[in-house]
Amino acid sequence: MHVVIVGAGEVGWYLAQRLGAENHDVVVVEQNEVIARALGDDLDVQTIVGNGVTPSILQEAGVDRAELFAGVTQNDEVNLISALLAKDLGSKQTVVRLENRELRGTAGQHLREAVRADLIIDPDADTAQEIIELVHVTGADEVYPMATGDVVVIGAVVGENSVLAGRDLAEIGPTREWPFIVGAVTKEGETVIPRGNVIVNAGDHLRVLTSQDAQAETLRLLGVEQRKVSRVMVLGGGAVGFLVAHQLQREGAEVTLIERDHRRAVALSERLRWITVVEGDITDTELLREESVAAMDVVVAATGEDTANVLACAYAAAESDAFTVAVLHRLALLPLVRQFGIDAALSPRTASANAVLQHMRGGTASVATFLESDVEVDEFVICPDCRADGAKVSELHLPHTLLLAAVVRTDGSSEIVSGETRLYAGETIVVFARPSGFTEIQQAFT
Amino acid sequence: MDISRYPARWRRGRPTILGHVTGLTLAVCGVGVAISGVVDAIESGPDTWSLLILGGIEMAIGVFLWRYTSMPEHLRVVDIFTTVMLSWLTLALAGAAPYIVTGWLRQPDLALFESIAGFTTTGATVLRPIEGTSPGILFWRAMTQWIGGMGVIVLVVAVLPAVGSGGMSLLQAEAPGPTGERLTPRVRHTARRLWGVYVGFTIVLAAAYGIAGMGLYDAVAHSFTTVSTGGFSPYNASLGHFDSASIEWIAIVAMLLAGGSFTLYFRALRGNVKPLLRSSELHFYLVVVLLASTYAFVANDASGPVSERLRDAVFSVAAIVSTTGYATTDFGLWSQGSQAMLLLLMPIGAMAGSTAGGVKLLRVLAVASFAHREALRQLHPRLVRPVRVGGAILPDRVANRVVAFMVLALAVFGGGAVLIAMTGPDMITSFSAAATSFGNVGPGLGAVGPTSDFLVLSRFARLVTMAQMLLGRLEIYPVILSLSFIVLRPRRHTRA
Repeated sequence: MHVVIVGAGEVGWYLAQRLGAENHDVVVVEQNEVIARALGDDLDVQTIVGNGVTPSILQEAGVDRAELFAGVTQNDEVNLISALLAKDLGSKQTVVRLENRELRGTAGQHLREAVRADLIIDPDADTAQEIIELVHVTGADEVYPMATGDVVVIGAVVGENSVLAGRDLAEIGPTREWPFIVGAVTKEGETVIPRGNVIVNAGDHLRVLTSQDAQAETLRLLGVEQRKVSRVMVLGGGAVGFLVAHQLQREGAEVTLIERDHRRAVALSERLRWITVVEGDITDTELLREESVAAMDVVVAATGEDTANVLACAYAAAESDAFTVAVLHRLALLPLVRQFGIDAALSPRTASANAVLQHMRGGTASVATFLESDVEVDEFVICPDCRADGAKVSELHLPHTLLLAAVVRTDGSSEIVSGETRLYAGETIVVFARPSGFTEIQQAFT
Repeated sequence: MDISRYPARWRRGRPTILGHVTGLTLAVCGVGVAISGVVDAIESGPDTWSLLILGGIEMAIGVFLWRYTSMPEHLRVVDIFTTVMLSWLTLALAGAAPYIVTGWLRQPDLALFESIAGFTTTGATVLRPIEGTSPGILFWRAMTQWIGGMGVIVLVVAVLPAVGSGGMSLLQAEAPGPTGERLTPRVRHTARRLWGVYVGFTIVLAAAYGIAGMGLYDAVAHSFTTVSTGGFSPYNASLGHFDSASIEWIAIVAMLLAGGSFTLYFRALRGNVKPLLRSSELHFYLVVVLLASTYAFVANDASGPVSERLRDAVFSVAAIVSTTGYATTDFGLWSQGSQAMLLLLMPIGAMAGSTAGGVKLLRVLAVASFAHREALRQLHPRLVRPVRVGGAILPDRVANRVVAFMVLALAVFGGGAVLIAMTGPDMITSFSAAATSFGNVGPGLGAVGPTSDFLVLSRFARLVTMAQMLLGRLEIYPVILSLSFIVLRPRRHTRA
């Protein structure tokens, strides 16, 4: 598949990396020569230095034979115009990154129709949404609600007093006692999809699939402490911080928002009426103490600077019992984060990339990729007359690179899968898989 | 301002905004006096000729001043405030003349009091007894309030063809409320629209009064003083003279409407109703009226049918909050709590952009938000938070001015009350006289209550209340700024 990406920012870079790893031909158009060269050195993709709104450059990148075009610069105008050009030049599918919220609403409908984009993404809004999901399930460090049914994937570190600690996963089947299925286990930086005979210890990171109703029970069994969220501190008033603060305040939390830039702080204070906006540097511990960080239930650091986010969260974690969430732009920092006592970290790039991947894969209903590992969760609808239609799970002989976790019946009820579960066409399955196992899944189910 | 766009006849004469605007003001005043003369003739009163001749003289002087001066090309801030102030002083003097000439108020200071109480829409009076005075003079009393209600400068700006960039400042210097805003791209059209709504409101109300049983003369006179929230009435018993429930309910609605923002009305009439309905000042206004009326009704269990007591409670509260000052019942006999409540409401007034006096609810809301912010800042020293009125944000510049205004208002009110008290009256009388004058309400409490008049005060105390009326109507700044210009300018010249 030929893919053209305009803009090698966070989202573009990550997309190129993901798609390149799946053996697609990726061409990236980037204006900044230094970034373009760095990208070309790092990934197996072609780079073209130039402006994405120039037809000749787009042609050089091969948009005329592209299956997918993604305009993902930080500039809405460039994304819109380049996507329009790409469509005119013959690109099959186009993805546009659009951050202007008004343009995403009804007021921008005609514009969007004129551009004929197939998918519109907003990394900041997606990141904010992920943070809010995390806050709803304080204690977990990853929460991905699946598109269909009431199935949710939760990632969390097994607590000291968890009943799971020391047990073999083979004992833990999906019974009433264990209302979840373990999809991935991370021990010492190594992630595996478990097929029994894995001993879980406190401190291991698990990704489990459960139903919304059993969520609280699952977290309890994992030994994760949940708390009521009534006081929230948001550090950094950028697009992500704004959205998170706004949403949590609307849900009834008392929110303090700290922003360094005076003019931005003034603008925020004018838009966020019921939020306490404070001007200051988020790494200023004096300021954090002044704003009683110790009394917070949740601290979210969402500035554009990774170091500031990590420092502020580390300080907050040391000073309080708060659930701390840091936004990280550089993935390499991720393994370090837990050592600082930070409860969860996420990156703006993954959320949006998930949407693009999902779109690319057509039949997939939803995709969740995890930051630290190459395991992803996919949803598929079982096609009529495929291998799986009417078969038992154990009869499918699925490879070890994937785990069939749950099935959503056509009546909307969901069920955690065992070897004896029978599958039928029209039902949706949720699968933990490595990207390399993707073709196997397609063979079996579509 | 590009003068050359206007016809040649506007370009002649000495360019001075002072003479130009003041002249036109005087001419407007003269027209009013002459109309009163005509009304006097229709009602076969004794003052027809004196009013007609006086009106003619005022018109002549005014037109002369106006035609032989022109708008200067550049307006200075000094000129704007001085012009507004001088126009109002001219109005006060020209408005006092009819009382003296016709002999109903021979002492110049009493005539001036009645004139200022009229133009500032206060409605306090020294005319005793009111009934028996010639119909022309009583009509002139109502007319002064009507002219002063929307503002003579607004009227002048609406008429002047050559008022350009300075016009908005002129309007803002006179218009009640902290936010003078343009309704139209041209300030002249804004002024016309405002007067248009005002005149329309007056006509509708006069018709309503007429249908409810008033004669033409009474209907027009009361319509003038209701729409302007003035409160003069040609009868000793004020609106209670008619003893008619329907008239009183009409007056209640009209007073409350006149206490609302005319700019919002104009927008609503044009089809844009949202700003009116969403105005948090309006919500606050209605809540204040509702709560105050309920308390007044509950706290005064006098005898009489419930409907009448309810009507009296709502009427008095509406009359005080809208700063109209009509009276149908003697609220001086109400419980102490109710009287204290009215005393508090007097200097506050109704909505910004209305014809009401007082500091306006908008400023009260703004100061409350300001105080809230400063309290929060004790907890969060580096808090960033705008001052809001409802959902709308007041820029810090405006918010600071509002707070400064409130401090000045308190000084004018308190200082005035103390000065009045020094001349002898009891404390309730002094404070309510100060409140009612500064708030442009009319009746006070105690010795200056609704059944009494301001003759009970000494001459000095009356001078204090006259100053307070002007300060209240022009919202302090134009008065003190123009005075400071007048006082400071010569000194600067001698030093230079």
